[in-house]
Amino acid sequence: MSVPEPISQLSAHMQPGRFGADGNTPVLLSERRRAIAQVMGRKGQDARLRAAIHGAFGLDLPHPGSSVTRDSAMAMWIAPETWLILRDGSPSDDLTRDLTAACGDAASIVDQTWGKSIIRVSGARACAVLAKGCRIDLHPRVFGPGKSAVTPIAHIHAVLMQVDATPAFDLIVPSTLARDFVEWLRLSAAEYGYEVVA
Amino acid sequence: MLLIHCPYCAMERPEIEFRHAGEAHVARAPDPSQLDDETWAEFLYFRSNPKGVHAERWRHVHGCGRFFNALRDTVSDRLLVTYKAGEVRPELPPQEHSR
Repeated sequence: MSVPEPISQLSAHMQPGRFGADGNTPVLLSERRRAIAQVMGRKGQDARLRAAIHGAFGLDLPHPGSSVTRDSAMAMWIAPETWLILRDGSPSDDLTRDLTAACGDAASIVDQTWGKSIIRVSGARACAVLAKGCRIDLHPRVFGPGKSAVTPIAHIHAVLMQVDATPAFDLIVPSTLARDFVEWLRLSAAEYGYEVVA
Repeated sequence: MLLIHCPYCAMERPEIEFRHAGEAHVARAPDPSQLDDETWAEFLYFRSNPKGVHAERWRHVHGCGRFFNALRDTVSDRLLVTYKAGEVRPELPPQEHSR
């Protein structure tokens, strides 16, 4: 039986368009749809888990504060022995099934695809927008592509990851708070001008 | 704003991500029923509260979620060193706590 494609809770709040102040370099906001799963290694199973993820996804589970990407899959450290695995594809992807098959009893797998929303913020003023609610130092001297952090942004628990040097950031927030989070992003970006892109 | 080094995240993080969780290295007796009331009350309610270097538990509650230990100077509010839970209290070089 086919599963109906659920509708993003953000779709009504991220209609494409140009908003805020005029300017040549608007901040770009978009929602990214990826399958997300949380992988929590069990006690003493670290080596097995790393081998399993490497075998199935070609990913070497990253160190604290960083992420690795290979093809359509990404792994991101979020807590000791705990990672997020993200993969492109349809949202009703069977990422968790693949992970469970690969890891066996070396890890606990939790599907987070519908529990989290991913919002991309990019553009020359992206750091200035985020600085209004995020206390992590995002200056290129300290932060950079591939780096990530679990931190509250505008009082909302978020996972922040730098995608490239534009700079572009992916923000993973609880989907129930995503609408509030986007409202905050819009307010923060208004003074620079922003564009919501599909 | 204080920056606190989380030994698990291996990063300096802002203090609002952390919660204080009382004195560190307070060992619970293996068999509390064998204790007299005074010793049990001592474990439950009495803490050292020093003026100067104090070993404390902290939790990176809005980050990785882990408990860790820190040596903090209660006079200057400076966090001198942080270390993972279960590790022994580190020795400080003399100049770190001579103030």
